[in-house]
Amino acid sequence: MTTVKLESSDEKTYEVEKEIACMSVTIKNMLEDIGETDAAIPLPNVTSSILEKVLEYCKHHHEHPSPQQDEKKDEKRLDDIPPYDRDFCKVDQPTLFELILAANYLDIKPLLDVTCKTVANMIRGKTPEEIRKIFNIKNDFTPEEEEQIRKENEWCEDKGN
Amino acid sequence: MSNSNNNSPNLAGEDIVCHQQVTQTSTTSSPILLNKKMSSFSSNNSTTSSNSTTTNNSLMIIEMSELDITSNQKLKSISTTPTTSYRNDSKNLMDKLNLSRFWKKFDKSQYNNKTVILDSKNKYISSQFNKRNSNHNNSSQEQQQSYLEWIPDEMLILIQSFLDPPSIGRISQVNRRFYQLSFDSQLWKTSILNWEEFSKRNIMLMAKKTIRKYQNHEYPFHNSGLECDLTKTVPSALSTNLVIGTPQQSSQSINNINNNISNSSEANSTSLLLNSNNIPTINEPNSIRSYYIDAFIRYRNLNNDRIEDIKWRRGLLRKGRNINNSTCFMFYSCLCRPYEWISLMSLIVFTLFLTLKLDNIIQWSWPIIFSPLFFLVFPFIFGPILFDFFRNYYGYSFENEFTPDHITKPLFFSLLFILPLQSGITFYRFLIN
Repeated sequence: MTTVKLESSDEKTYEVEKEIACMSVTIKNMLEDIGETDAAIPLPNVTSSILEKVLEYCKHHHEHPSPQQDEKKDEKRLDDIPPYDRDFCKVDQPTLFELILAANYLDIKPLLDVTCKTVANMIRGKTPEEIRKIFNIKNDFTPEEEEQIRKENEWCEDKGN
Repeated sequence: MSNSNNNSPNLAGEDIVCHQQVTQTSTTSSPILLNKKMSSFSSNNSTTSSNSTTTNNSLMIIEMSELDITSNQKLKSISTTPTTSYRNDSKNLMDKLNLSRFWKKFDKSQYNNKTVILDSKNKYISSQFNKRNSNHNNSSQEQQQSYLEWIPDEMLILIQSFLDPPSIGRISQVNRRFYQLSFDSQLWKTSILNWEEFSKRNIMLMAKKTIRKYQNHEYPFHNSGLECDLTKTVPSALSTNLVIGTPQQSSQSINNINNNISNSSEANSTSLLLNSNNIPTINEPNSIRSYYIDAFIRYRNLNNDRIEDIKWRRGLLRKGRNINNSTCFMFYSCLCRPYEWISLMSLIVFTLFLTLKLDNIIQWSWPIIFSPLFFLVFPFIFGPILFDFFRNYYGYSFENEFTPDHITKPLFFSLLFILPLQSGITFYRFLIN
């Protein structure tokens, strides 16, 4: 089993199996470009703590491959997060967003999907005021603008889904 | 959110783990400053002591009680050690300032016996921290920042594409940034299509057992309607009323849409508002957004109508089933033909009375003799009266029983007044079904 060395932004190196590392398309492409090498692959956008979590995720999904659903992969559903992933995403907001960024950088599609779904679940069905509270967003509209935009979006508050 | 409030119970019991990404400095989250400080500290140490590539030294565990005691010494030691690291002097100075500030705050907030695990040496984020810290230094009042600001726009759109259209509408009211993001036409398209798929599945689930028709029923707008609307975007197809009703009607509407699409795409494709060739729209993003919103509202109304329709049919079936069960006993006891049985009996009684009267055996008045005939005309007199009575006082509309596509099983009125008068074969068929 060949292994690959990954180096996080804070110069920690991790040695992982090649197949696990290749779940990330970025690393896979890098390995194809470089070929066999002993040098550690630098990942300047990922810190060690996040990289650990990502590797944990990859490892789990390497050992327990999820059943492939052939039908309509492009369909986006919010309620089909498997239990391991749901627990995996129960982290605080900065970690979650770092995971999104890391998944985007490393190009790990399932991880990106799961984390985005988690954030979307936090947003879904909330009023703007609640969303601001959750994500600590400042309201930078003037009152007139806010009123106008609220009127524009009155249709959201209609009955039923 | 261990960093948003300093009194949260999980902070009290557990170790404080501060990642370097945590940039909020409002309350007790100032460990970042410590973090930063410690990074320079450890780098100083590591440069003086040994090489930094050992795998274990990136995590530093510092006992706070120790640090409290020796903080001043350490500060002094940092300030006195010659800076041989890659950081320049001004940065170190800044770090020292931050650290001293941190210690002040830290003494106030009494987290003494906590262990702080610090990541050290993070080049990537340190630049961002410097920026943010300088911001904080400038504004004396420290404010909480939103983590969502870390996320680039494409990621936010990806996140929003998982939401249904009303949620996108709501999140666009949050912030200027989200408001601008909500003009992304691709976002609306995917969102509406997802919602469509989802509601379709729901409706199929609802209609599974009750209405057989809906299963064979082709769902008109996912395959033909919406796809075409949103890719080719034919306004004329939208203007045709997609009113649900009988399957014939909806298949007609499919044809309408298809015709409209073919016509308009061939004939007046140049005049279309949105065309696949004619990519819209930086000029008028508003129109596109409102166009998608209009489409969504239309489909939502359609969907709601559909759900109402299913519920109505379900209720109808339930009613019919109850009436059917309760009348079963009557049917069998009356030899399956209640009204014929009654009318036959009344005719017999009438002839009996008539003969007896003509033979002068009984001396009743003539109206009593003819009264059995009343049962013959009973449905024709009392049927309309009951009809009006039920409709006016109970709101039960018998018209429902007569609309041709809903008669799966006849109901109260038709059971009593229509079916018995029809031929026996019809009645027999009804019972068999």
